[in-house]
Amino acid sequence: MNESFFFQTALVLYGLSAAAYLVYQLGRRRTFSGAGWTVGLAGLVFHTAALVQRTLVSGHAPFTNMYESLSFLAWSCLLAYLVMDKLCNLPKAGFFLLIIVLAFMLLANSPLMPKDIKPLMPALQSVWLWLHVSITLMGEAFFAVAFITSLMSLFAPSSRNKTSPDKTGAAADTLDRVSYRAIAAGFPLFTLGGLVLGMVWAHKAWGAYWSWDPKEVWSLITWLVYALYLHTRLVMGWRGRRSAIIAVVGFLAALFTYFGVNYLLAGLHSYI
Amino acid sequence: MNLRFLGSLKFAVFLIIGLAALCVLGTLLPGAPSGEFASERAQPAGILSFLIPEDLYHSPHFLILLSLFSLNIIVCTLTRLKPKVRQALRPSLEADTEALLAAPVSAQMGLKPELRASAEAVGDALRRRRYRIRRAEAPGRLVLLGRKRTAGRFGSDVVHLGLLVIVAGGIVSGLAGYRTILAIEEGATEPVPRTGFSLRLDKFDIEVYPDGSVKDWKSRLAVLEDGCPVLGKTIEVNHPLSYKGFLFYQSGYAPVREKPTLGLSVTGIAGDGFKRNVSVRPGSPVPLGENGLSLSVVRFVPDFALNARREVFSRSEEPRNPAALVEILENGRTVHRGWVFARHPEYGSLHGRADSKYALAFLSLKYDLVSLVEAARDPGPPLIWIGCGLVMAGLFLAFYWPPRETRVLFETVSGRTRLTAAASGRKNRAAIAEEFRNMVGEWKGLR
Repeated sequence: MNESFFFQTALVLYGLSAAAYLVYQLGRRRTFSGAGWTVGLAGLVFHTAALVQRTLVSGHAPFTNMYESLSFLAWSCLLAYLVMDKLCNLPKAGFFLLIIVLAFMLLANSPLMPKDIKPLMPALQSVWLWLHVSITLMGEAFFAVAFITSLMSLFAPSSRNKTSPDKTGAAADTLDRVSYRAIAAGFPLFTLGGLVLGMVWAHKAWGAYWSWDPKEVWSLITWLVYALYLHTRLVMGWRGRRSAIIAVVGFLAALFTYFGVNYLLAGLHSYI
Repeated sequence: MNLRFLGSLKFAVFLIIGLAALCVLGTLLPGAPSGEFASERAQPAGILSFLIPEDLYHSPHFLILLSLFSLNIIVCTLTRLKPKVRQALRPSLEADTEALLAAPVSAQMGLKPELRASAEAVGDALRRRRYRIRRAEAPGRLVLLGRKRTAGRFGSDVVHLGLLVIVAGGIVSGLAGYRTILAIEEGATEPVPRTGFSLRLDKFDIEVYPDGSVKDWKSRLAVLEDGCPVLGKTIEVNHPLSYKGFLFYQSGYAPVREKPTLGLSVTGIAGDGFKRNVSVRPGSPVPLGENGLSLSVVRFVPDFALNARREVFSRSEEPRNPAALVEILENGRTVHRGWVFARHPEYGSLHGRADSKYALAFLSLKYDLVSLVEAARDPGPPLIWIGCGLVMAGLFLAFYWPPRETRVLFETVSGRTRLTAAASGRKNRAAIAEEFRNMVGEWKGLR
C-alpha cells in the first residue's frame, strides 16, 4: 500500500464525511453529524498514513512543494476542526469545513500539482523546515475554522430574535465565541511558526532575519489583520458582524500569503 | 495630538490598518518594491510613486508610521501599566455584600464557626486550588481575596514590550548592520572589509543529486589573522561560520569567465588508431602522449561570431557558442591549426587544414568557480530573539493563563457568621462558575 492509496482513500472518506454532514445539515439528526465526525477521523488516519509514507519515501518533511503542502494544509484543517468540535460542539460547521478540506485535497490531487518527489534544494535542508511550515499551517488551519464559523455567523439568524437557539442551531453569538477561540489558538501558532521561526530560519539560511520578501510582508499583513481582530474585540468590545468580517478578511489574507504570493509575486520563497 | 490620543486604541487601529494597507500596496502594485527584487521592476508614476517609493520599507513615511506605532504602544502600555501593577501588588480588599451578590457568579450562606475559624477553613479551600490569599480584618468583618495566574493580566503588556524590543532590534540592524558578498576562488584569500582578518577558501564543492539538481554547496574556509589560520570550518547553506561578530553564509557560487577549462578529443584520421582526450586551458600547451606531439588552445571565445570583415569575436561572455582555435605541434612544427566548436561538431573538419592528420572534437567546457560567501555583521538578532521570546510568552499569558479572583466577605450578623462570595476572571466563564460551585459545595460542610 503506497502513499497514493492512502491519499485516495482519505479523499473518499472525506467525501463521505462531507455527505454525512450535509445530511445532518438538512435534517439535523445527530446520528449523521456523529457519522461525519467518525468518518472524517478515519479519513484523517489514512491521510496521516499518506503523509508518513511520503516522508519515509522522500526522506524529507511532507511540505516541500505545492502538492505536499496543500495535502498537509487539508490535514491540518480537518485536525483543527475535529479538535474545535470536541471543545465547542460545532457539528453545523462540519459540512462547510469539509468543503474547504476537499477543495485543498482535490487541488492537491489535480494534474496542476506535480506529485513526483524532487530532491531538496540546499536552503530547504533544515530542521527549521519542519517547525516553520508545520506550525504556520496549523495556525492557518485554526484560522480556517474561524473563517467558517465567522461566515456562518454572518448568515446565521441573530441571537436577538431567538427562534430556535442551541440543540439544532448554533446561534450567531455562539459562533462568534467559537471564532474567537479558534483565533486564540491560531494566532499564537501563526506568530510562532510564521513569524518567529521564519525569522530564525531566515537568519540561519539567508543571513538576514527579515528581507521584506513578499511572503514575509504578507505574513505580516495577515498577522496585523488578526491583531486588529483581537484589539477591536478585547479592548473595544466589538462582537458579531464586525468581528466576523475581520476574521474573514484575515483568512483571505492568510490564503493569499499561502497561494497568491507563490504564483503572483516573485521572491525568496518562490521554491514552494 | 495629546498624549491620550497617542496611546489610544483608536490610534492603534488606524496605525495597524495603515501599515497593513501600505504593505498590501507595496507588494501588489506594479512596480512595487519586493525586497531584493526591487530593481527588477518598472517604476510607477505620479502619486503612487510618492506613496510607494522604490524602497518603501525604508522610506520616510513607512518609518514614520512605524515610529508612531512604537510610540502608540509605549504610551498605551505606560498609561495602562501603572494602575494594573498597583492592582496586582496592592489590590483593594474592599468588599460590599450588595456588590458581591450582583456579580454573575456569587453565593451567600451562613456558617457555624466564628469569623476567623470560617475564614481559616475557606482560605485553606482556596489555597488547595492554588489561589494566593490576602486578608483584611475589621471588627465583625473579614475579607479574603484569593487570586491565581495574576501574571495573565500582563500578557498584552509583555507582547507589546516584545514588539518594541523587536523594533529596537530592527533599528540596531539598520544602523549598525553591515553585509557584503565575498567572491573567493579556491586557494585564494580575501580580506573581509572593515575587519583585520581574511578568509581563505581551501576547497569548494558542489554536491548534486542523481538527477543533476544541486544538493548542497560547501566551502572549506579558514580565517586568517595576520596571515595565520586561526579557525577552520566548512560552511554550507543553513550552516554559517561565526567569527568576531561576523557570520559567513554560503550564498552560492559563480563561474569565473576568465578561467575556462576545455575538454577536447583528438583522433588520428590516418587509421593508426590514435586517440587522446585532453583537458586544456587556453595558453597552456599540453602534451599528447610521448610522441613529441603537443596541443594548445591559441584562442577561446565563449560566444563565437564573425563580424563584417570576417574577424572572429565573442558576442557575449555567456558560453552560447563556445569555440576554440587549436594548434597541434609536432616537435615545434605546426601540424594542425583550426577552430573547433562545442555546439557544431561538423565545423571542426570544415575549418581544419586540409592536410591535417587529426580530427578534433570539443567535448566539454568548465569554468573555475568562485564561492560566493555572504559576510554579515548584525548586532540586531539578539534583540530580535529576546523580543520574539517576549511576544510568545506574552501571547501564552494573554490566551492561556487567565487570571481568576475569588472575593469572600465574612460578617458577623446577629451572632452568626455570614459568608458572601463572588468569583470573577477572564475567559471561560463556565469553568469559573464550575470551580466556584465546587468550592461553595465544600464550604457547605461548615454550616
